[in-house]
Amino acid sequence: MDQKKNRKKKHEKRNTIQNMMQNISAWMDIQSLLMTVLSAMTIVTTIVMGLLIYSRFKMSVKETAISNAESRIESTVDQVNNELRNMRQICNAVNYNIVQEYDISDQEFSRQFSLLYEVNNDKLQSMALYDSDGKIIAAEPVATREKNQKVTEQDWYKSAIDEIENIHISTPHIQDLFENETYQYNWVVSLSSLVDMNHGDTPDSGVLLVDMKYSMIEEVLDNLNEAAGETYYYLCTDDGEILYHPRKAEIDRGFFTEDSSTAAGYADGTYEISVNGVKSNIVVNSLSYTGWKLVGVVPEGVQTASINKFRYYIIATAIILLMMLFVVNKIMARKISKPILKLDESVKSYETGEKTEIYIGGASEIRHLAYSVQNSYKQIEQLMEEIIRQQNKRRKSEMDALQSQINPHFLYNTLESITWMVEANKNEEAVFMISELAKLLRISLSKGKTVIRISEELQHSKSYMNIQQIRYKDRFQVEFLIDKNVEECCTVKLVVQPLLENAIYYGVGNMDEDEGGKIIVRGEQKGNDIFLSVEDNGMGMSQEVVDNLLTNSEKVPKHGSGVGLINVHTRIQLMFGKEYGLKIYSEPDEGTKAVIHIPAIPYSEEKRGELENQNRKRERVEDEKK
Amino acid sequence: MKKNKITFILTELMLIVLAAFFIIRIFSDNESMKRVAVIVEDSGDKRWDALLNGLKQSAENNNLHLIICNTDLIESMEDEEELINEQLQNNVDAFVICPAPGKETKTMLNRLQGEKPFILINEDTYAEEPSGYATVKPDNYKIGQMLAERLIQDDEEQLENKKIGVILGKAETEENVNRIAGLKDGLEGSGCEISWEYNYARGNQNTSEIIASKKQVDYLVILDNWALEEVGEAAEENKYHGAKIYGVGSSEKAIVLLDNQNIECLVVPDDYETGYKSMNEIAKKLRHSFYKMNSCETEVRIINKEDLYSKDLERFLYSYE
Repeated sequence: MDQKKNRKKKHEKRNTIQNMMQNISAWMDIQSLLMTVLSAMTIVTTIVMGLLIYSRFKMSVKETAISNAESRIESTVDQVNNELRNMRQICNAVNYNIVQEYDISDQEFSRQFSLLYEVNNDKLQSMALYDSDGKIIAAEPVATREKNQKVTEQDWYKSAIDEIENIHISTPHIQDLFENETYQYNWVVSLSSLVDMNHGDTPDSGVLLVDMKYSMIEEVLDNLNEAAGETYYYLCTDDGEILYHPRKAEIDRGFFTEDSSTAAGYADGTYEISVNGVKSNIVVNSLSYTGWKLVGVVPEGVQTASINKFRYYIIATAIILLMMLFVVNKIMARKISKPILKLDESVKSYETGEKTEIYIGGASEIRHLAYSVQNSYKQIEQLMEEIIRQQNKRRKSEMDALQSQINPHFLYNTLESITWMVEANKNEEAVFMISELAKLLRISLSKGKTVIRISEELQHSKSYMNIQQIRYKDRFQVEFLIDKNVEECCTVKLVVQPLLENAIYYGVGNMDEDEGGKIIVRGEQKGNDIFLSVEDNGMGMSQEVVDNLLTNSEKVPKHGSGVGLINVHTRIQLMFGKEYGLKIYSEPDEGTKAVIHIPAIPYSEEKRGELENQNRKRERVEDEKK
Repeated sequence: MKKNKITFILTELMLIVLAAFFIIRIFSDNESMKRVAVIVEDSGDKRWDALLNGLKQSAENNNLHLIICNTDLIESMEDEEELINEQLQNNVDAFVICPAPGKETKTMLNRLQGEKPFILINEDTYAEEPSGYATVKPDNYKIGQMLAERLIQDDEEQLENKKIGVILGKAETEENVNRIAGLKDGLEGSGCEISWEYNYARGNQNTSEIIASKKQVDYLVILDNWALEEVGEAAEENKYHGAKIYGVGSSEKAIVLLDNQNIECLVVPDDYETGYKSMNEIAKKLRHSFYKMNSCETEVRIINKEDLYSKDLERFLYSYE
C-alpha cells in the first residue's frame, strides 16, 4: 500500500513539474527560453568554478602557512636550543674549569670567575656562587649589591640541591638578587647547579647561579613573530604556563585569551583545534633541556588580506566571464531561434493571407521543417483550387439549370402559338415569331456567357415581349424607355425577362384589351448605379405577397416559366454583391414595379471575364466560410 | 522581444557595475593605514613605557599607524596646540592627548573637535565640570583616597598629631585637583595635619632640596610620578629626616624605588590599560565615523614591598618591557 502511495505521489510530483515546465514554455518564446536555460547553466557553472578555485587557493594558502610555521618553528627551536646549550656550557665551564679548579679564597679564582663573566657578558646578566648556607662567595658584576633575599628559599637554589647531577633552568623571571643602579628590572633565565668547591683544604659544596639574559630568547621570538601576519608564536612550559607571547600583556589583563594548556598537552606535531572559538592549526615543537614548548598558531582565516583580495579577483573575474557568456548566449540563442521565429512569422502571415512565401533558412532541421510546411501549404492550395473548381462547375451547372428553366414552358407555348399561326395561314406573323424566338434563344445561350450587354438583355426582353404580345393578341402594350448610356453596360443575362413574365402573369396578362394594360421597361443610370425597372398597371399585389416574393419562393404561386423573382435576385447578388439585387414595389389594383439595381460597369470582354472570375472567387470565399 | 532586449541590457549594466565595484575593492585594499598621533609631555621619558606599549599593541591589533610626537615639557595650552597643529598639517587621522594644564585647554580642544577625533588619557581637562570628551584615565580622586587609607592603616600609633607634607603635580590639572581632594577627604577625622603643600615643577629647581628645607613632617605624600621619582631617589640619603614616603607613580623607576625601600607604599595606575583602551576607542571611531567614543576608568593598584616578585606583579611589570 505504501509503495503504491509513494508511486502515486512520485507520479503526481512528476506531473506537477511537467505542467510547470509546460506553463513556462508556453509563457516564453523560444529565444527567451534558450537564453534563460543557457544563462542559468552559465551562472551555476561560473559560481561552482569560482568556489572551487577559491577553496583550492584558500587551502593552498593554509598549507603554505602551516608549512612556513613548521619550518620557522623548527629553526627557532634550534636557535633557542643553541642559546641554552651555550649557557649550559658556560655553566659547566665555571663549574669544572674555575670552581673545581681553584680555591675559592684564591685571588685567581676571583680573576677567572670575573674573566669568564666578562667574556660572556653579552649573554649573561649575572653570575654568583653561594655556599651551602646560601651565603654569597662570589658574584659578577661586582658593582651589584646584594638584596636582602633569602637565597635558600628560592626555587633555583632548591632545585639545584634536590637534583644534584642536573643543571636546573628556571622560567624567565625578574632578577631579584642584586640591586640595580639603573632603576630597571632585568628579566633573566636562571641556570643553577650544585657544585663542589675547594675552600683551602676543605672540600665543600655550593650552588652556582648563572643568570642568562632573557632578552636573548625574547629577541629570537620577537623576530619570529615579526612579519608573521596572522600567524603567531608563543612559548609555554609543558604545563601550559605562558613564558612568552606577543600579546602577553593583553593576556595578563584578560584582554586576550590563549588556550596554552591544550597546546602544551600535545606532543610535537601539527594539530587542528579551536582557539578562542576560531578553528586554527597549531604547530607544537619542544625545546631541549627545558621541556618548554614553542607553539605556532595558524588561524583558519590566515592571510585574510590576500585571501580577501583573491576573493575579489575571483568575483570580478566571474562577473566579467558571466557578462561575456551572456553575450555569447544571447548570440547563440538568437542564431538558433531566429530561423524558427521567422518560420513562425511567415506561417502566421501565410495564414492571414499577407504573404504567400514560407521562410526557408537556418539549420538543416529547420530548413527541412520549413520545406515540409511549404509543401503542405502548396498541397492544401492545390486541393482548395480543385475544390473551388468543382464548386464553380457545380454553380455554373446550377446557373445553367436556372437559366435553362425558362426554356421548356416558354418554348412549348411559343411553338404551340407558331403551330397555330401556321395552321391559320398567318405565315408572316409565324415568321416574325420564329425570328423573335431565334433571337431570344441566341441571347439565352450567349455562348455560355453569364454577363452580357444590357442592350442584348433588352433585345432578349423585346423578343420575348414580341412573342408574348402575339400570344396575348396585343391585349397590353409594351414600352421600352432606355437611356443610351445604359445599353453598353454589363448585366447578368436573363434578369429582365422573368420580370416581364411576372408582369404578364400577375399584372396585365389577364386584362382585357380595352382595360389598357401596359408594361413599361425603363433603364437609367444614377451615379455609378443602373436601375432597370419593369412596371405594369395590373392588379398589383398585397404587401404580404411582395414580402414573400424575394424571401420565400414556396409561398408564391408559380406561373409561366416558373422562374421565381428570387432567382433573379440571387443571381444579381452572386454576380455583383449583397448591396445590389431586386426590389418589388406593388399596390393592389394599382400595379407592380420591379427594379433591378446593378452597378454601372461598361461592357468589354475583359470586364466580362473579370466579373465572371470575381463571381467565382466570391463563391469560393463563401464556401470557405461555410 | 523588446522586453528581452531591455532585460539583457539591464543585466549587463548591473554586472558592469558589480565588476567595477569589486575591481575598486581590489585596489582599495592597498590604501594606507590610518594614522594616530599621541601627544604626551616628554614622550621619550621612561614613565610612558607601559602607556606606549599599550598604545602600540592596540594600534597593531587595529591596523593603525602610531605617531608618538616627539615632545618636551608641555606647560600650557599653547604648547599643546602647537603640537596638535603640526600633526594636523601632517594629516593625521586622530589624536590621543594627555591634556595640558589650564582652563584654556578645553577651549582649544573645542576647536579640534569636529575636525579630527581625539581621546584624552590620564586625566580630563582642568575645569569645574567634566569636559564631556571621551577620556581613559584612572579615578584620580580614588587614588588620593587609597593613599589616605593606606596611611591610616600603616600607622599603628594612629595619625593623630602627625604632620604630612604633600607634593602635588602641576597646578590647574584635573589629576592634581582630584588626587588632593581624595587625599584630604580620606584623611579627614584621622587627626593628622597637612603641614604644607608644594606644586612640583619639572626641570626648574632641585625639588629634593626644596622639600628638605621645608618644615619637617612625618609623612611625605607625593601625588605626581615625576616628583615621586626625583624625591624618592634622594630619600636614600635620608634627606627628609626620616619622613616616610607614600606616592603615586606608574613608572618602573617608581617600583624600583619601592623595592629599594626608598618609599613605603606605591599606588600604581595601569598605564598599559590606559593606552590599550584609548587606542581601541579611537580605532572604533575611525572604523565607524558615527561611533560615539566611551570614557572609561582604568585599574589602580596599591603595591607594597612584600608584594614585589610575586607572579602577579611580575605579569604587571611585563608591560614595561
